[in-house]
Amino acid sequence: MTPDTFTRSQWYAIGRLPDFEGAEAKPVRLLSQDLTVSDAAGVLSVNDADGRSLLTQIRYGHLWTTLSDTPRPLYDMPEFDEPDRRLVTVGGVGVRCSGLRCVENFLDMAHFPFVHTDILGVEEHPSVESYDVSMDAEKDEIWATKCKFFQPMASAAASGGQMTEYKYRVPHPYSTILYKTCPIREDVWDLVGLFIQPVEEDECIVHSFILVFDEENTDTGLLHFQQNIFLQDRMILENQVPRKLPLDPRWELPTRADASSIAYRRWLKANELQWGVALFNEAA
Amino acid sequence: MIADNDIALWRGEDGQIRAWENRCPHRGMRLSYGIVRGNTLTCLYHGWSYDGAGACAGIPAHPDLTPPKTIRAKAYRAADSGGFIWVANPGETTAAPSIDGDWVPNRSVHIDQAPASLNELADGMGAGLMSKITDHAAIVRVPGVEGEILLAFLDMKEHGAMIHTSVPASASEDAAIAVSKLSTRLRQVFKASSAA
Repeated sequence: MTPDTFTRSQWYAIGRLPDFEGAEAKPVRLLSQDLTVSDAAGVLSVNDADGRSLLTQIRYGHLWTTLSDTPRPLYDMPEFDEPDRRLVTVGGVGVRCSGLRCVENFLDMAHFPFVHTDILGVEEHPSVESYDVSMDAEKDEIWATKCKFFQPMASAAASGGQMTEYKYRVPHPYSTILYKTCPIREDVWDLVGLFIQPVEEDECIVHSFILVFDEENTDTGLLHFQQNIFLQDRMILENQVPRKLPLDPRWELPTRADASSIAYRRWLKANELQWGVALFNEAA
Repeated sequence: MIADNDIALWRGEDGQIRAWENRCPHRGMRLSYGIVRGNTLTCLYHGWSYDGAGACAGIPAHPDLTPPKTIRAKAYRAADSGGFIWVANPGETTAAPSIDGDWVPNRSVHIDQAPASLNELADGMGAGLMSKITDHAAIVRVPGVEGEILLAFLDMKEHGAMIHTSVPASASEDAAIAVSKLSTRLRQVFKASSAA
């Protein structure tokens, strides 16, 4: 299937800047297409298989490109301009499933006690309280707010169990950002997010970042925390059937805790997204 | 795998065998990664639990919620007999085989090329059919090998086939070893390269 208009019109992160240092037509795959990245004296360019030069931009610690000549603007994250925040980029991790499944897993709190046991959740506190899900119509993005969950070790800087407050944002079909209570500062949020590079309909590379106030942990410590969590998620993601995301509610049955997932699937459907989606008639 | 469907097999405290579609109805996670507690199977992803009949028995995210009856794991008919676990194809209505006597499972081997029929499989083993149980299983005898052998195969089309054998609980060790060697030899008989 060729990518639908909504998918095609987006910007995608394809790596961090040091990943392309000195690159000479380094191969990169995006939306089932072979691209190359080249570094000419510090200026990165991206070409498709026909040699056509694609639009690029460098933002949020990553190189972004798009197959479209008239892409939707990349969403804003003003927190990247705030002083004192630390940015740690994790690097690409390949996952054998649709990137849409990765977004949905990221929005999900109900799996914390079972998949991230004794880190992001404990089996004794599995309850997901109701939270608010809203659409920002002007920016065409989804927000889930007032999310609360009991966490024994919410981040690398956490010293003990706490009720952590979360906000989730989905500004892009393949990007999602978590805003969570900062354990060491009041009235600010720590950010963790995923920039997903859809390779094929059922295969992706996840580039994640952490943008936090943390004076104690080393970059390596923050990286290891994030990698540990993501590898626990990957074990789940690679064992969901089918690998593409089903949008038909008859196929996968949600409950109240899945309000953000329901909104995400509806939003994809409303935008007529088809690439990376499993069709109901494909079901056995 | 039954007819291209991935199956999760599990046995509860009650000893009963269950064969379910290998995906949780909630978010598609393979149930074969789940945890058996008593007579329930719990999905690894969100801890949803299913009773022995496949009905959702609990959703940890909402401890006070009685799970809707519509949430069910898809179950295939399954039975124990002759030392084998039997699973019915979807739509199959005949009763599960009931094989007389005590049998012990002997060997399961994978072969590259599925036999076209039970007769072809028996021929390949040098066995004679004594009584047919299903289109894919029979009691056979091999000249020179003491006692009967229960022989079955699961046709996995382009993925070849699985061959299973059982021997009577009373079989001697020599007979059991002989059957095991005969099973292993089938890998050579039904090699992919020898296919027409």
